[in-house]
Amino acid sequence: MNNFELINEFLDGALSSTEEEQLFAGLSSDSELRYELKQQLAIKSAIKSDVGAFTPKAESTLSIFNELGLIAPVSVASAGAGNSFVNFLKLNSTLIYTGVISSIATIAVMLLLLDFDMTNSGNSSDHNPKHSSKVDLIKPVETYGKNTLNSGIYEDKSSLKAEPVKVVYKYIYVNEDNKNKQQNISDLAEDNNQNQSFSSIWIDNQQLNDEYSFFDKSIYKSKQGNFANTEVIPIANLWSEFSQNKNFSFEVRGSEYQQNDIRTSNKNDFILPNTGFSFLYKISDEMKIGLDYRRENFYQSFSGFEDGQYFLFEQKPDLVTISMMLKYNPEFLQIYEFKPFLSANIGGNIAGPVGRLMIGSDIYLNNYMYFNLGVDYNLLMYKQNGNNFISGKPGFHIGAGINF
Amino acid sequence: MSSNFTKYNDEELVEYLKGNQKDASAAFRVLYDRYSSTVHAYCVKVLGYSDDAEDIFQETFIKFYKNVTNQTTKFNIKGYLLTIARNLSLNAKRNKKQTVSEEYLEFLYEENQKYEQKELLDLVNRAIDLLDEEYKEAYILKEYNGLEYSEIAELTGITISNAKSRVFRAKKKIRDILQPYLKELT
Repeated sequence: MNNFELINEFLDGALSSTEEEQLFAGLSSDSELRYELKQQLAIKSAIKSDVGAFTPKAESTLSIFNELGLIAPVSVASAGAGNSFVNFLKLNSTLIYTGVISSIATIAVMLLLLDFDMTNSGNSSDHNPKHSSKVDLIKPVETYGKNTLNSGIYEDKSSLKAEPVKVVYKYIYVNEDNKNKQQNISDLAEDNNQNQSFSSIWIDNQQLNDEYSFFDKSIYKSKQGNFANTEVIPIANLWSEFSQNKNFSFEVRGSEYQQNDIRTSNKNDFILPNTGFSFLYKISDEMKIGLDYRRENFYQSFSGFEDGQYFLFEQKPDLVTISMMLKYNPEFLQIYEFKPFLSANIGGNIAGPVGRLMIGSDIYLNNYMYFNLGVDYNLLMYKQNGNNFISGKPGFHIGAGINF
Repeated sequence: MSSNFTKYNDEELVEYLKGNQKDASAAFRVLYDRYSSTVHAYCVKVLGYSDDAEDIFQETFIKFYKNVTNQTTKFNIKGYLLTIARNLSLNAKRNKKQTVSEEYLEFLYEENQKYEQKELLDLVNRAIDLLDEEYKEAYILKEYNGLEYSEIAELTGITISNAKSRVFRAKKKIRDILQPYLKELT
């Protein structure tokens, strides 16, 4: 066995203990043998240092995981830094495009089918709720005085009467709920007959509060019988037994919206007067897409200019809003059972298109049940008397979900 | 989390690959951590540092994931991955004839230069490229992938003694090619 063979066998671990002893003895006296050992060790060492060979490119790693629809290792994702979102978009491009196109189509259909101009249907006396799918009753415009904008809005009745201002008040009542429709219309008609008891809601605070609480109760009655129960959860539980992959999620939530107008922000008698649920499909470990259904009972007021006049709209909508929802739970933000999320909705209701952006966190109890908390900002676009308006409001949400 | 899955052996991880997407993701990440360096080294050594090598590397893991769920018997993951990589590499190489000569080593070598590890690695890589394909592959599987002779034999369809012989000859040839440069190291 020559020196090369001897060292090669040694490095392969193929020498017997006796041969090893002979090798070690030879190394102390044979410079050629030492030289051979150094050479072979240098080659082995060089190979071990071949980081380029042993380290896949981050792009390759991402490409593999993306192709398979799996979540890449965090180290690779962070190495991709700003590219992670781009990679996510690439990975889910088909689904995202589908979602966006579906949303746009949904909105387009709604715009075509629904008449967002709430005044087009005429005044309340022309409206026949029995034959209409929507009720958009509008109190006839009340005009007071001239040439003052909002200075008179918060004044009491006596001051308005004493010094009329040119402010147009409109009361818009939108209610899609058939059970309450008739009652609400009757209420409004009755109030119409009582001559400006609605339009002058700002005139007498006590009167205002009484009237709103009346309507609130009417609306909440229908709400309480619908979504504020947990009957859906056992059904979802049942489904989960038949599905191991848990690709679907069902979420229910209660919400509280905040209107910036201080005087009108506390019109709701109940905590979390808004309810909703979402049905979502998991397209990856981090992303879900689906439909969101919300019944929104909230009071809001907003103002604007119309034909050079300042006006105040007040709404007590009882709207059903349906939207496409995209929910993103980035894994790198997950801490224990807290899974922060960002969700975006685009859809519409009887009044117009709606967009929402929410941040919050899911808090998992186990693999398939979780609670969630979130805050969002909601934008509603609508048309009134040919004018386009945008109403924005923040909201707080608390809910629960189940994966199945 | 992947960290929870590192405790599992290959067989257990393969079972998770067949489960829901979350578990499959976590299991695949662990398997990828364990074997990606080996597979990548094989691809870039056999095919050279090229887009082809990266493509084969990616395709290996994609094929592995898609096929592994159909596996019902126990199998060696590392061997399975290298088999896929080898088959894909062979197909790729059929379409591409490599022409490497010893002359191109000459320009790398300068008399009396002190070679550092990086330069030596470069020279070793060039020397590997000069090997005949069967020796080259056996050498890569042994030195880069750490396979036993029996595993090399099984993977390449030769006898163990043949595998041992190929590796030995490859090592000797590399040593011979690098002899003048290695003198500078000693």
